[in-house]
Amino acid sequence: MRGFVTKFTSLYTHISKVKVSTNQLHNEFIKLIAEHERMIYKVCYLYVDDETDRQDLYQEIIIQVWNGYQKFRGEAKFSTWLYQVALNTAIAGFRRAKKPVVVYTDGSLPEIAEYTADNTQLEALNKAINLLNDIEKALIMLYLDNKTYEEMELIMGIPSGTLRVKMTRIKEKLKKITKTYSNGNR
Amino acid sequence: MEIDEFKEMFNKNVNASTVVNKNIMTMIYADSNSPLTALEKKLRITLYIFPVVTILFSGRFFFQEAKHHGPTSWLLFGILSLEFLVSLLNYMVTRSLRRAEGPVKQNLIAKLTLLQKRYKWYFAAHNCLILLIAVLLEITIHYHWDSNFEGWSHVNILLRIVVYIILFITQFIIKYRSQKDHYGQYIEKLQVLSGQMQ
Repeated sequence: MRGFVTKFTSLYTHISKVKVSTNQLHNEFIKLIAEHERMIYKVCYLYVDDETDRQDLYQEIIIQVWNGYQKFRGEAKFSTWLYQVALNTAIAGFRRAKKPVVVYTDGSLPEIAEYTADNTQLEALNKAINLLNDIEKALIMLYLDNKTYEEMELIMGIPSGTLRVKMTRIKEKLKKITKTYSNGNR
Repeated sequence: MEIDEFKEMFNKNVNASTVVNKNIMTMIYADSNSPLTALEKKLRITLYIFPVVTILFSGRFFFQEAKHHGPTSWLLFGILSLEFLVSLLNYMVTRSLRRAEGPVKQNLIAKLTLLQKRYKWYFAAHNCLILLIAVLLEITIHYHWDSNFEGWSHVNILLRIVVYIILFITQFIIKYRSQKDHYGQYIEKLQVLSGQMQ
């Protein structure tokens, strides 16, 4: 009887420990997401136009980040790793054109921060970025987010030399598009 | 204006964002709406169906006398098992496609290679299986192993071959279209993205 009680107590302690560590992991994760959420918003806004699709993409990124987070060893910076996961989900996520709206158990919808341009120049830039292809969009986003070429290489897997050439071309392309847009607005 | 001058403006604008999502944990445990998750769910259902059908079918072998087990029964059993293996493989491929870790280029290439391999392998295996069925059917007819095909054996050999060819072409077109719908468009998309990386 005493053996059974001891075994039961140790099992209960083990379950409690697992529960505490899971809760800790959840809290850590929520904190990290809160710190880096704008990064995810940027990716969502860059790759999806429709609000519902954006919410779906945001959720898919969060799920992928959570799945990977439990195995994340911290070999790279969290922001670098997060960009990899977010971009991989957005670029090669095989999204459909139209999807039903997700309603959560509490009846609410995930809200995504409003990302509006506050002047015409930025609006022109946003419109110009939207005309780029998926890979160019990722590169310009990383560039505007002040990522170094080394970090961009880690995220994209493209050698920094090629990245520099690509960035020069993208800048030229954007300049041309924004100029056309500005002239058209006058 | 130079693009570099936008950096500050771009980041300032992002920092001005307001509403914050509070449903992180709910989101993690809710079902994803991604098309790959939908496909994964469909394939998971076939994984449950095939073992049940196979078990029910295998009952024939345990509860009936051995003399009644025609080669066609074994053939059908083999096809069911193969279909189950294909479903399992498809499920594993879909799970692999959902992986989002690693540099973008390598991730894209890995997904593209996986899909291309699976596409080729599936076609080859499926066509071989259909040919094998036709050959085994002819052997069964020739040696009179199964009385159910006696009627078919009286049909002219040339007509039988024509029927096999028509069936083969029909299934090929159907499979080709369904595979293109399921995987072909993704392969094309990944090829375009891969090209953009160069």
